[in-house]
Amino acid sequence: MSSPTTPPPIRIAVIEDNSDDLYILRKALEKAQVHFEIDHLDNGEAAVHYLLRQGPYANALPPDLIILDLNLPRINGVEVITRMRDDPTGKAIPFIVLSTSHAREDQQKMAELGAIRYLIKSSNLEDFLAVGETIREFLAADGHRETLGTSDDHIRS
Amino acid sequence: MRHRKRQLRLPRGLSVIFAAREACSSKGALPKHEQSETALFAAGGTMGTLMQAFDWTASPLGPVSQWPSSFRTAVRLCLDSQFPIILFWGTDLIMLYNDSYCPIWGDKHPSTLGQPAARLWSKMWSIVGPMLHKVLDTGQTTWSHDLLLPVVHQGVAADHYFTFSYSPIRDDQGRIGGVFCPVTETTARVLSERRLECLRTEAEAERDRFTHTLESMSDRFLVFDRDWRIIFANTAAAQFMHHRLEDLLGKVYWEEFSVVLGTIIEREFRRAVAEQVTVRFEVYYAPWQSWAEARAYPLPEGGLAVFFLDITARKQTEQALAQHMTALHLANRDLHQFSYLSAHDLQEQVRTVAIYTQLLAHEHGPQLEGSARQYVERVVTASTHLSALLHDVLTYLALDQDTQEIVAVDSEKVWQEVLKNLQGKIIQSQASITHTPLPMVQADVSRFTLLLCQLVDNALKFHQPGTPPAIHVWAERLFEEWQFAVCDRGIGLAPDYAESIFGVGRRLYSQGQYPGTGMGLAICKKIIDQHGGRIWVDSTSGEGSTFYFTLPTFPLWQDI
Repeated sequence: MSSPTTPPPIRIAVIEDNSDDLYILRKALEKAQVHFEIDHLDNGEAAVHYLLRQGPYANALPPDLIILDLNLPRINGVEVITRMRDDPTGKAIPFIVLSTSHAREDQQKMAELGAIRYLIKSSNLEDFLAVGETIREFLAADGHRETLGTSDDHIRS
Repeated sequence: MRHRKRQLRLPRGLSVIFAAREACSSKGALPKHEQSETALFAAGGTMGTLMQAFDWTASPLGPVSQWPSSFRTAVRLCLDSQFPIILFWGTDLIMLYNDSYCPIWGDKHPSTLGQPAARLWSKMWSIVGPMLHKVLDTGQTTWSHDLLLPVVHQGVAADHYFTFSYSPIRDDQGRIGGVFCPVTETTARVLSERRLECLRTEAEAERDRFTHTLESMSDRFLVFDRDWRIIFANTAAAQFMHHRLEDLLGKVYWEEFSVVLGTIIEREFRRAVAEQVTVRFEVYYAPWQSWAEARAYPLPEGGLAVFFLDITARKQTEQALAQHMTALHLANRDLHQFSYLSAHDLQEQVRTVAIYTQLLAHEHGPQLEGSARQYVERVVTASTHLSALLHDVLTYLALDQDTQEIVAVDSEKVWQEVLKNLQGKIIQSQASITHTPLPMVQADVSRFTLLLCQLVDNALKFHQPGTPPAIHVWAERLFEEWQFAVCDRGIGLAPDYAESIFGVGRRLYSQGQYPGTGMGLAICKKIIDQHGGRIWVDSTSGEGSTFYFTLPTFPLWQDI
């Protein structure tokens, strides 16, 4: 178990309906040696409730980062972010898009909405796992340096 | 006796007589026979004067004093009449005529005065001679209607027509002495009748042609008068209305064909007449399942002329086409939805397969031995390839499904994007890439980027083994188009394949030699086709290839 001096894990909200993609993402983060804890939302409606601290999520811990898929059941990724930004409490959370869509319009739209990065899910294992590195780089720059990169990280999900 | 001095064309000999008379007049009163002569021809116009001066004693008629009184009466009547009249006397048929008759002689006047008819009427004598002699012999009057007589007047011959009659003049003993002939010129009437006849014949022929045309056409034609009675119909119209032609004429349209009451036909026909406008509409006749286009033209004299053109065939084609279009639209919409689903779901599954097989190989591969490891490797390769193939096929299909947007594009910017996209491969292969300044073009940005990217990707892939790729890109302006070129010094290809490599799924090498989906150049060609340009390759096997493509400077069409 964690010792008192171990900093808390980085809370990552993964909004993704494909459980296989979630599995690979965990692998990617593990490989990148990120000490993380994932809050998984598998549809847009639940994601909105979570981000706006509604219902069962009223007292949940806020995430440090959002990994967002665009094609979601019920409410899509664009709508989720829009509602998040419109709410004063949700605005500050940075998000990275991880999507199958190559569409230029999607990339532009998400950039306008303030996406930190727009990553495309690759069918090549190496490329997919590299996503972990990208996330690590961002977290380091975002002030989570002390949470990252030690060999005895505990990985909890 | 005073002679009026006038310009006369006198026959020879008369001037002598004039002179003699002049000589006589100065001697005092005229002899008696001369007095009666004077009275006979006095006030008889020009001809009277000429007759006066004529030496009748030298002619078969003999001196005037010996002329039978009936003849002299006839002469007087002749001279006093305004009608053209000619007299023939004696077996020689000596001719005397009045002023009104002169024009009929034309140039022959006045040489015909006192001459036998036979001599002066040589051409017509075969016709006229027997008639005259018949009168002399039998006393029967002749009547000639519109006889053609050529008249030469001042050297010019013209056809004239005359209606005249030959009637007998009896002498004092009651015997027939001569012929009395009043004449009417009928040239004007004859010619105008003839002209009229010509026009009538022409008009009839014209009308027959017209009727024939109307009859032979399958379109129905009707004419109504202002009371809506049918005053003309062609056979096709009669047949359509199940009537004989004779039965239709004169009938009121609304009564005979009451089925049209209250329909668009009645409304539009009445409107055409009321507003004096041409109307045009389509109408369906259910009993015959036929469509017609009706055109009605109001007539200036009242009434309406109507054409019904049969458009059943056209309508059926239109409807079939509409059905096909709907079916096509639905199919297209379904295809669009299908390919969207394909794009998303298929790719998701394929990606999952690819990732997990790679994970399998990565995490457990080292534990596998022999054929198991080999199989896993094969599956990984195949699933990776499957993923790439699916991606390319869907890219190709998307080019048809999505609309393209032609805008002004800076090729330089596109080029930079391409270099960025291929950065990894460029660095890895240590490729040297050069280009000349690239122009502004009219293109769809994302498709143009894809095209350039694909061509450079190929150039990077097909380099000479052991030699880093060397690629040069340039553009030149030709008439109405920009021509781009991507040139490499790679392995090249034989000219035999220069065309076929742009086909879908065409590969020159096996998957083991050079990996690829066979879709790259097909995608490039489709993009170029949609821009209205051309793409081709100039290559020598073993020496490299230059891929050319053109983009029109003015886009041929937008929003394909």
